[in-house]
Amino acid sequence: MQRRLLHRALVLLLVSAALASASHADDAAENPFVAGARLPEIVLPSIEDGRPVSTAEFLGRKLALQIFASW
Amino acid sequence: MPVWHEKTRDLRASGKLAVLGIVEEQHADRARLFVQWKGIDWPVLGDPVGLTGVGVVPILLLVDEQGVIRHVGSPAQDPGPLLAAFLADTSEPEREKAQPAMPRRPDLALLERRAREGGAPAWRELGDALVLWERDPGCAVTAYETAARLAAPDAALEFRLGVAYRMRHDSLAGPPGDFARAVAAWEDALGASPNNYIWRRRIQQYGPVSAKPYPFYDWVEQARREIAARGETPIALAVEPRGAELAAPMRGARLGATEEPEPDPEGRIARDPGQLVLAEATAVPGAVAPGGSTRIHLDLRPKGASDAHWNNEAGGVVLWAALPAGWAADPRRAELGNPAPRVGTVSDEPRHLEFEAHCPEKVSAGEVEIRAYVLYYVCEGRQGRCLYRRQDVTVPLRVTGALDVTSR
Repeated sequence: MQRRLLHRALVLLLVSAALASASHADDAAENPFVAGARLPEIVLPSIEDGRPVSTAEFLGRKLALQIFASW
Repeated sequence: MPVWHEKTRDLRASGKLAVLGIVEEQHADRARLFVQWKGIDWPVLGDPVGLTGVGVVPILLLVDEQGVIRHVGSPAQDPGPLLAAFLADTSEPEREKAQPAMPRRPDLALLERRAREGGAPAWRELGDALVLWERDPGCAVTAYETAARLAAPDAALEFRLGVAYRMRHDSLAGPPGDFARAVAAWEDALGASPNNYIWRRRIQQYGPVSAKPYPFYDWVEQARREIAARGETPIALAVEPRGAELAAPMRGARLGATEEPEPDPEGRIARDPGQLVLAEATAVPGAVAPGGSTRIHLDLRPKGASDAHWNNEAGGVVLWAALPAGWAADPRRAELGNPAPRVGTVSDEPRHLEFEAHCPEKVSAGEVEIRAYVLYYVCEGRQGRCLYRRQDVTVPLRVTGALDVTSR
């Protein structure tokens, strides 16, 4: 009986670990950015004039970075 | 975001806060029109290939002076309290930083050399550079296709392939079938990563009204009106949003039997086997479940090699959808009028029609063919013979046994 309970608990633990890891993977698929981590340098063209702009240009200042869509 | 714009104005002016936008949008000019409309006056960068790696928008990151992300979330309607806490946090005092070098466009020759010497990642990087900095979808397609040949493509590469195919389709410079290739690549990307909402939305943007969450670009006309009312000239769009991109969602809509007359029931109109007009048909999505719908896009282009032109003095283009038994078309007959008279008596612009094909509830899984034909007035050269022609198109479609992941 005790062994069965232990077995059940182990299965439950494994299932919840799998679910937690799956849900973590889903989160990462939606948003790879994590608080506490360094923002990787991203260089993209300005939509205005195509000029390259890097996130590194904002080092030394507090930055609010908005990632959005126009659709 | 307009709230953000107002609420951060003083902070930005005083230098306490910098605001930067990255827009996940295939068409940079649509993003520019949006930014013009909203009066956003902070720098906005275009990310058509999904370089940021985000699968959902909008996302707000608050990044401190050291480049460390302090907050990740959705932009709040009222950013005041969040920003106050962020700005008050002086736990890591500002340090003098070496001024970063001015960012430059990547060295294309170097990327090409690396790609030829290296593997799939170098080809992908070259493809990104060609899309972002050169706006050269033809070469980008080659680079991404090479990357996909060298190593099994992952979802992000499939998405990029879709972006480059669609850009080449919009440029009118590519071979026929680019839009269908784009849709197939986007569907593969979403199939591999079904939680990516940006990729899901990309298919819904062109897909049936039953699967749409909202009209995608219905704001464009309102934006133009409001910008013009301010005395400004709205940013011009290279590719006008149309059809599915403007359509409102419609749940559970099914047409009954419509009694519209078939324009050429006996097939007596002479065929154009694609010599005068290039016709391209694309189903979005490319697979449909029983009871589901797909949207068929028809792109028509007079062929330059034949010096063909639309005859604008005659009627427009008429579409007739001839679906398999049990299927319903919405609309079954569509008509696209000629452009405004100022365009001239002949023209050679691309023309576009759409209809939806509704699959019956009871149908076997497998391949089906959606058939349609278009009737048009076309001239051989500006001064040449003008003809009335019919062209038949066939779209292969897969009926799935269960609801396809990309159609949800």
